[in-house]
Amino acid sequence: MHKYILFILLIFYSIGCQSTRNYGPSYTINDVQSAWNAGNYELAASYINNISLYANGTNDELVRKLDQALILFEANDLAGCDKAFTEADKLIEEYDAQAKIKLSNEAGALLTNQSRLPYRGRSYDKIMLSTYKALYFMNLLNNNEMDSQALKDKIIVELNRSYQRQKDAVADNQKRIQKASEDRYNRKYDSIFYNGQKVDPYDTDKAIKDYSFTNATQGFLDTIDNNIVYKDYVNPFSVFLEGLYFIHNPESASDKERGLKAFERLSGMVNNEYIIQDLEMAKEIASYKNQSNLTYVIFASGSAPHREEIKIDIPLYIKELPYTGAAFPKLRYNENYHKTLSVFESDRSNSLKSKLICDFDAIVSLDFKNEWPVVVTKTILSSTTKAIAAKKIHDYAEEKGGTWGLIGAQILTSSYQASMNKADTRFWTTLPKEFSYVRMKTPVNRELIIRVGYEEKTINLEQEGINIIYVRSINNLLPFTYKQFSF
Amino acid sequence: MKSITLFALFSLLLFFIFGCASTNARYIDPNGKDTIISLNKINIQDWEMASNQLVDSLLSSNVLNGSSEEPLVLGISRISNRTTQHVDTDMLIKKIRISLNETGKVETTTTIGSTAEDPLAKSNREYQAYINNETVDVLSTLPDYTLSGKLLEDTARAGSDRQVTYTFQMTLTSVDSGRAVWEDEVSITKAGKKSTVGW
Repeated sequence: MHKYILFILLIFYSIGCQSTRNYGPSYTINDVQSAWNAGNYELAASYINNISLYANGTNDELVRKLDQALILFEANDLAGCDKAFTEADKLIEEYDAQAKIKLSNEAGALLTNQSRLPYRGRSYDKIMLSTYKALYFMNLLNNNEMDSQALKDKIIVELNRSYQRQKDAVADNQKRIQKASEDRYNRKYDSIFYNGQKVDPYDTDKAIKDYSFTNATQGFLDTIDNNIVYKDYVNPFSVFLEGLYFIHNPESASDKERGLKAFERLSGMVNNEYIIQDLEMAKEIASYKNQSNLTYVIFASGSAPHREEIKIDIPLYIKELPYTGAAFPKLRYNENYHKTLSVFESDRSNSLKSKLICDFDAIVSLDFKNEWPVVVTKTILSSTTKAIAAKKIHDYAEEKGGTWGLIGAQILTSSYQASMNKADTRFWTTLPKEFSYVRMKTPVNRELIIRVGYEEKTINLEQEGINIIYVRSINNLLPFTYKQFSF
Repeated sequence: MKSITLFALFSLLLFFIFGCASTNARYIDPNGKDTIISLNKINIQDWEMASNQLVDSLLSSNVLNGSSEEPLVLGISRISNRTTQHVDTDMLIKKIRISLNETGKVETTTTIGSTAEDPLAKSNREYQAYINNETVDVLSTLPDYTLSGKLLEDTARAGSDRQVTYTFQMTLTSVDSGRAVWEDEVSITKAGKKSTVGW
């Protein structure tokens, strides 16, 4: 019974040490999201800088740094963006160098919840971090104060990392699922003692197949299934950026070949007329025919799915306490966005619409689906551990203190369980929903018009060579922003 | 109660062992066996090993044994980093330059190129020429040879086993002929198992 006394102590400790997730004097991550969704990037930047500072050394440090980097990129604080990206990458490297599962953390999470574990970065976070860093360095290529050779090295390093992280994600996911399966198996044969007698061990596999549980989850899992279009952890936008860079910046024949291979891989994932044209061009460039007067308009639109919490009853298989409510994460897709943009020449001729390269709903859905068995296992183990421990405390308190003892114990354990019954809904909030692009011959007068919804902007192409315009639209109520650079 | 007391004493013991542990910092031989070997980065001993082998290969090729008594002039060209690590390629190149310089056969120019290593020397030279109403003798600044290279990385994994190979490729080009007069590469392969479970 001493361990249950220790559990009660842990309740006081945990409630006492509970983070309110209130960063700094008055800001929360919700304030950042509100400012971001309202298009006030400077205010969002000011909030996230403050929040990120307070998140240093906490379990949320990485996820805040990721948001900070993209918000600062949009707010044109490039030095701050670079710093946040670098710090985020360093954190990921540190997490990756550690063991995948830290027993000390996992044991704590069993009695608390999964959001009390450090946010180590999802597979697509890591891939997108490298991809965005490559894009960030490309954006600096026309800055005469920068060493262009050093920048090119940095771009290539990030494109290599993005590629490597896509390969690692597949292997890491297989290991995660295997570990969850082992956890469920081990728990199945663990002995549980109740009232001094050995009772049936808790069978997580059985709980997952329970009718009420499957009934409650089937709806949103079906929606997620419908959104999955890519295989494994490929990120077509990362592959596109790799192809674009190497085919237009070859330092050797092997670079041209790499660019060609990237477009070949991309055409296997996404089918649209621009990719077909790019693949044909890559074949020509590989055969030493250079292209130079091209303009690419990359359109990052909307917001990636966010995570919400849903409470689902899971079976405990105890007569007096048949079910307990557990908090699970759920994806919610954001439909408030512009699906395409249009590009015209200045005389309004040659109108072109952007075509999809990368559906982020699909990428997040696949990651969520692959992680689901792990999340379910951990949440069920955590919830049942807390519920069974609470039940034992109630019985003990009733035995020693009668009805008042039981009431006191119930107040304590239920407030603890309520405060700890939280799903891990942390995610990189500023990622887009979709990437699409337009590919066109650069107009002779170097002027083009971009239209997003009803908004139009005339853009003068400042540089020679291959022009890239990166357009960002957060939602269909806000004006779009853009950056331009060239190879 | 006895078990709680034992638990408390055990916790205190752990605190004293780990909480007050000294970092025990010490000097080690960068080429010795005490150096840290990382799977995800090029360690100091890897740079050392690669540069030593490349210098040995270059010197034993005899291409630097020119007919003149004057040392040959070497220019450093593009050293392309194709790994997944942001590294300073001078970790390799500077070591090679030092070794070659010590032979007395080679001197490296530091004033050519758009990103000259010594911009002050370059601008002073240009300033002197301007003051003396001369043009900088471009030919006299040209190197005899240029050194270029590539750092490559190849990673493979099977379960928890990981293997990474870093390849250091170098080419010495004669500026006169435009031909590669010496080429070599050094590969360093490291393997290890990544722990999946730990405290």
